[in-house]
Amino acid sequence: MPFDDLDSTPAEALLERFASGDPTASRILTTRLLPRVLAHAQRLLGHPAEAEDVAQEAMLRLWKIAPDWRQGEAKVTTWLYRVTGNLCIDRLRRRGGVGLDEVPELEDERPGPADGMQAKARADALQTALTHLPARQAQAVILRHIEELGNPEIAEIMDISVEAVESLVARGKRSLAEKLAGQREALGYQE
Amino acid sequence: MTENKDKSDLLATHFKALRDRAEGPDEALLARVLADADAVQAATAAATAQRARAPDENLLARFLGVMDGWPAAAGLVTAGVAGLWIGVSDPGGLVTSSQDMLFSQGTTNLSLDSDPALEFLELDGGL
Repeated sequence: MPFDDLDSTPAEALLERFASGDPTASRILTTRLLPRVLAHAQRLLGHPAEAEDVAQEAMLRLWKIAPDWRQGEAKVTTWLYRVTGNLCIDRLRRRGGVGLDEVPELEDERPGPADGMQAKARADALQTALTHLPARQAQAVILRHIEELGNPEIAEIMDISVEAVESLVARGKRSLAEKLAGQREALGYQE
Repeated sequence: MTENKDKSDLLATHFKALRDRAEGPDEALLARVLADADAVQAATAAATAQRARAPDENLLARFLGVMDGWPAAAGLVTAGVAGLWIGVSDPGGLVTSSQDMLFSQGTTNLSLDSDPALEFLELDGGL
């Protein structure tokens, strides 16, 4: 099959090709999926090195489950979000909660934020605030408002009801809004 | 209401900033993930090849297991060969007709007079 055809092939079909021994399938799946997995882990953990470890482990589990993957059931992306989330939450629980000084300092060298640095400052502030939420609230908020998934898919990823997703997202957003409102004044965000 | 909208807008701005900031994997991480994929594929191929080589060996092992080892299997083979020999050999000396085998109440006579060498086997007895 030509490379460009494979490029538009659904991930589930590529996984089946991988299980059959096709070496190009893993290249395409990695290019397509690893960035999303890594970004999701970064947002949940707030720690780049740990996020890389989690992303590699999540992809390894995908390679191993390929022969047993049942077509027509879950989506590969849904499965990967669940595995990545579970790996991250395990690490967060082992950490036993994160204080501000345990999340690596993110560089911000310029004194007054220009537009680009303003966005960076907001991203940093949100990332820090997320690490202080209960893990499941942070996961629900990230899936809903960063990954931009629908509540039914989030419910499947987190193995809870849609109502539970809505509740977690609402509580998480309330906490984030309070934290960020206070930081906005302190950091002089320009709206 | 205005305060809620302000908070909602504030959050939306932050969510967008974090979403746009996603840092992609570096070359080293890509290489590690691909190496893992290759290793898993190689292991799967090796396991599949092993299973393809082994079916005759597995069948022999199961047969010997049922027969309780080589001695019993050898005995079965011997019996089979003997049976085959008996089946294809000249049946002279054996009773070939049911009329030669007489059963009557009180007596049992077995006549094997088709083979003179077996005359001594004429039997009388009561049932």
